[in-house]
Amino acid sequence: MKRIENIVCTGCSLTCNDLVIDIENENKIVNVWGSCSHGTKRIKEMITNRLKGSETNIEKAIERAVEILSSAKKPLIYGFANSSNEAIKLGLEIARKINGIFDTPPSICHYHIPMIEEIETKKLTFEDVLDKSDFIMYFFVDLSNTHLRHASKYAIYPRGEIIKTGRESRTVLMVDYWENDSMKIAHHKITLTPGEELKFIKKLRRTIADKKVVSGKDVWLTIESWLLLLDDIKKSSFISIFIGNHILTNIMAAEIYREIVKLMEDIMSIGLMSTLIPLAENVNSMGAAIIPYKMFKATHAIDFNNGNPVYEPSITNAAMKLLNNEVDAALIVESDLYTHLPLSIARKLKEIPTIYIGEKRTLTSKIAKIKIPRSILGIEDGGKVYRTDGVEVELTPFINPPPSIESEKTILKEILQGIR
Amino acid sequence: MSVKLNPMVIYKLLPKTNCKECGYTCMAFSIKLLQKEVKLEDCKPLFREEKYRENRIKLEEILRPLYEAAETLIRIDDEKCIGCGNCIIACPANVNIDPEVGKGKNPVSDEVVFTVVNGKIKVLNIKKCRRYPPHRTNCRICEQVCLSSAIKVVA
Repeated sequence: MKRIENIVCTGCSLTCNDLVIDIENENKIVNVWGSCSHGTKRIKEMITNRLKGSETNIEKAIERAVEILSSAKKPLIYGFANSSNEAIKLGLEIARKINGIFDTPPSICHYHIPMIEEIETKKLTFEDVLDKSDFIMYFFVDLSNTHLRHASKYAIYPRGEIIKTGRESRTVLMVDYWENDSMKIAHHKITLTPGEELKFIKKLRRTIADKKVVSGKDVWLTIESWLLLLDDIKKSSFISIFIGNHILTNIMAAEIYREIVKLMEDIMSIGLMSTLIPLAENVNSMGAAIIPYKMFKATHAIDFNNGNPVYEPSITNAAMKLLNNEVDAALIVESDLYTHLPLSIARKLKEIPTIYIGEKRTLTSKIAKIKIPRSILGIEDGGKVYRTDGVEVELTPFINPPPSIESEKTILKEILQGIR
Repeated sequence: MSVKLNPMVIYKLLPKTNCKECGYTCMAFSIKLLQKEVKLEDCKPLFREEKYRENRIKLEEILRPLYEAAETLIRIDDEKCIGCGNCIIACPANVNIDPEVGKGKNPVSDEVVFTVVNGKIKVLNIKKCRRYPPHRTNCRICEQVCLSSAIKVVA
């Protein structure tokens, strides 16, 4: 049995880098040390339950994909939350070359990811939080379901350079719509009714800015609890804010997240250190937003017109373009778009020719005309990804892929070269 | 039954006659029972006399989690465990053995009390737990930080 250390987990966007894996007979994973149940599931189950290609060989599949994309007037290039940075750049190149639409999951959900536009310059990393942060705020995050190792590896429990006692020196505030399981470890827990998010964050901002509790009744906290919360905030020196995906409205989402950004600015204006980190869902959700932002100053929903990017998220997003029958072909890279779209729009996706590159069997792969299996990122294929706090992490493969399966980079590169 | 076990809960269901057939008073017997130093069968009147039958059945039921728990009186539910690792990092004994654990790293050394393997807790050295008899401390950190309530201190 061979033991490989320092493997990076690809189960979620935290990319924990301390996994140890025991391998038998070159390709059989026996034990995964240190990964949570999400990471274990990805590493152990993905290899046994993989997508089968629709064509006899990969060259033919790529040839047909090129044909579909070349003959389309407005193809959609979608996905990339589970792809390496190199693949995202190739996806953008393809979209630019064929005047298509490049889109990623934040246009349908994950509304907190485009916030990187506003926080990019002020953002600190998990290492800073671990070393210095003594007050941690979670907005719409359920640690017991999504980012399982966040508290133990990056935020609450580890002992840092300055916060030497770990959890004893940190105060935790959690805000969500219901009392989730992770609220058990919070000192201050607040449950909101949908529709009250903005009101609550505004009151919290006012409390912090004025350094006194605003009078008036509310259902979130008693006056004593407000005083205790304010007391804890006053005592702290570095407040970290983590925002999650659990938001029950899509109309107000951007406004709510912008209000949280203002909350961070308020905290900084009273002389405390602060940072805001969105907790993304998939391994490279953040990369799929950072790379287009660095290249075209847009995080998602980019419509290329004669090579020029147009960014109007409410008009140029995948769902709207499908609804208006503007899209006539789609290339989807490891993302279950068909499941996440509203039914009327999903039906339209079913009508157009779709190419699916991925490793998982999903509903999207089922409706795809051409299925191209790729080697599994982080297990059979290497590359760079962005951790959710914007730090670039290198993935190293530790298993050889089956002989007929190529990496997404090779597949996308050949598609890019093949397009006229 | 989700009763937090304590000597008083057990004492109330014992005969309370202080007959000392087991060698102790009823209160001392209930404490010894919780420490797993005696067995319920050692209380002879409880099994011999019909009037204690109902109490005996109740006692057997509330003591079941105690028998299922390890010597540290901690019960781990593998089905519920999500492998978040909060217990591993917060455990003072683990950090004492491997200081890297204190910085948030999952331990790989076989010396630590417990670690996470395949997304579940795995106990490696139960004797190093601060709750292990005879120098038992009332440490409950792993239970307090467990997100999925998989770790339960039964007494």
